Amino acid sequence: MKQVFLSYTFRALIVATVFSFFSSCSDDHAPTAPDTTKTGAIVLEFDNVAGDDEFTFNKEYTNAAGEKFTTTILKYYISNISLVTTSGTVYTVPQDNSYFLVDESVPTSTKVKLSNIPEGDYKEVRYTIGVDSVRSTMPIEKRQGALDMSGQGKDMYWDWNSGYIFFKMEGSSPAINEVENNFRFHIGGFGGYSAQTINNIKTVTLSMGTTPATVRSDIAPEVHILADILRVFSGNKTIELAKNPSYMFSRSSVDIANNYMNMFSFDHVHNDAAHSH
Amino acid sequence: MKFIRPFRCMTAQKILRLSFIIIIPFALLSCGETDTAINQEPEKIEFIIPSNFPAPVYNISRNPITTDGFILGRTLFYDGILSRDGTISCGTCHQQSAAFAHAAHDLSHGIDDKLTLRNTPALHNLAWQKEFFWDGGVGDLDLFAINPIQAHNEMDETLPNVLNKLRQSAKYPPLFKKAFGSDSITLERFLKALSQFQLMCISSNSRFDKYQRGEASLTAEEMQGKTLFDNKCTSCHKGTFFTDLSYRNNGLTIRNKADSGRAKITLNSDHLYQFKVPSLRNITETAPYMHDGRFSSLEKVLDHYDKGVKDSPTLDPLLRQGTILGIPLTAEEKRLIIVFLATLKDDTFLRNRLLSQQ
Repeated sequence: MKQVFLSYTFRALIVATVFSFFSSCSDDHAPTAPDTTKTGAIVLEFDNVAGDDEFTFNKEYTNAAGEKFTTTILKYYISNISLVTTSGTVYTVPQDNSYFLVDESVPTSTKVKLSNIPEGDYKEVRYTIGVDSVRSTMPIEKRQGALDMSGQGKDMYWDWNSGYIFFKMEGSSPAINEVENNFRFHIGGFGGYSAQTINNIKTVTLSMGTTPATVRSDIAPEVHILADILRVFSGNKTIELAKNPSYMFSRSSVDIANNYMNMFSFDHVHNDAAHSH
Repeated sequence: MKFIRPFRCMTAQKILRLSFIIIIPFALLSCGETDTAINQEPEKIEFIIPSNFPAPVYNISRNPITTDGFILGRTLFYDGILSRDGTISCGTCHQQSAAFAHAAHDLSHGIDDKLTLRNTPALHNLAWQKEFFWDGGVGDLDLFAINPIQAHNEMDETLPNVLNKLRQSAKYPPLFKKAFGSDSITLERFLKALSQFQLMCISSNSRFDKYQRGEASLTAEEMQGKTLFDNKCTSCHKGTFFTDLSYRNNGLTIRNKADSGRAKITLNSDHLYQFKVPSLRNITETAPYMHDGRFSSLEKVLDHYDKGVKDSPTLDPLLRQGTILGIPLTAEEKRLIIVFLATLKDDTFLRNRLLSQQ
């Protein structure tokens, strides 16, 4: 994430420069009223962090149980995105275009760009962590893009039970007293085809506070969302890697999902012009 | 080549009632057609619903079966290119002469001779199956093949690699073009072609089928066996496919605790050691039996139901009548039931050259 961090600093400099030239425009003028017959774009940036630190692979962090750990894989599905305006109108991204795999190892994947969004002042974003149960039982032709098991989704699918892995995190910890001190979280479970089983589909609602994301045909706001991976280990239940380093398709995987559903927080939104990103 | 419709009793009205394309699958072998006829490629491969079969579960309109799609699927089915080192094809373990089960193997062995967990199930009438594998983990035929391709003890290959190998081959791009209109090789096309071949593995010309359609009669002994079977076995092995498609614990001793059966999929302890009730079609050809292939003969299977059923918390209630476990059977009853089961053998299917490696 260091690169991204630097680019932020750089971007902040640019923004500051722009402000110094056009401060009266930026500060005093709200954007024009939304014209809902027009559309624009919005970017949801998922910035993985570890507490107050930027998150990066192979860097050591400490979980709530006091165990040090490093990470080598981190990816998760974000799907079924909807946006709510300040007046309460909900815009739902068409389902076929609403599946994204955020993969820490693929920098471009952390920015989810949504196009053809009606102009509006959006105050809230809602999404699913994982893949909804309806899509999870859809035929192969409905599994494109992030859901293509021979493409982006190749390591995010259990072929023996036709289920997507919603959230995958792997790494190692000296606290794990095994020959290989690796931990593996492969969390999924959409509820089952014909018989009920675990359902780890989680939904997230984030308020953007007092500054809405003002989508206009010429303004593509960037909503900066933090994903605190330390929260994977605590909140609902404190995870001790020493006790169990492996959470896959099992009842106990629910503990991890109930933790990570609270790892997202809204940080800030960029509405202003220089949207070169 | 003149193509012969196998199901003469299907009326025009019945055909019209079917909501999808009526298609014609097989050159008939059993009635003494000449070998020249069966060695030729068909003019047209078609999927037809035998008149004694219900409507399929698989939605054929999503994947209309064409001659070129079928041929592509068959080529893929018998090609080791699907495995990491080229040695294992679908047909390695799914052998036509054994109704696409693995003859004489309790557990199948895949790549590097690694043993699998379970006995290879027979493949037939898959359009009428709603779930796949002994534990029913996959609910869509199109998604079924991904597992054996990727399993480390079966083909041990990845989907991106398989597709790339197909793209780089001289053989496949033209086959995909013929089947789907362009040489683009996608996962969807790959899996649908495999499904087209598997969907055409229809077994519907056993002597029992002909009896059901009023085209043939069974012998007195076979009828006696049928009566016994109807009284003692059809609670689970019911209907045209001789399975209610449910998952049951039939009282086998636990040999491999790690294989929890249906519970592996549902994570429900009520489903421990339940496995799918298999179809009994072509059962005389698919030995050995059970999910782990522990019984080498039908006699041993019936001995198990007679005297071998072990009690456990998830034993199927049908196998517990008061204090009696299992299904008491005399030696003569077992013999007659096996005589009846032999009528489920479908030579047309087992020897259909259209389904064979070319």
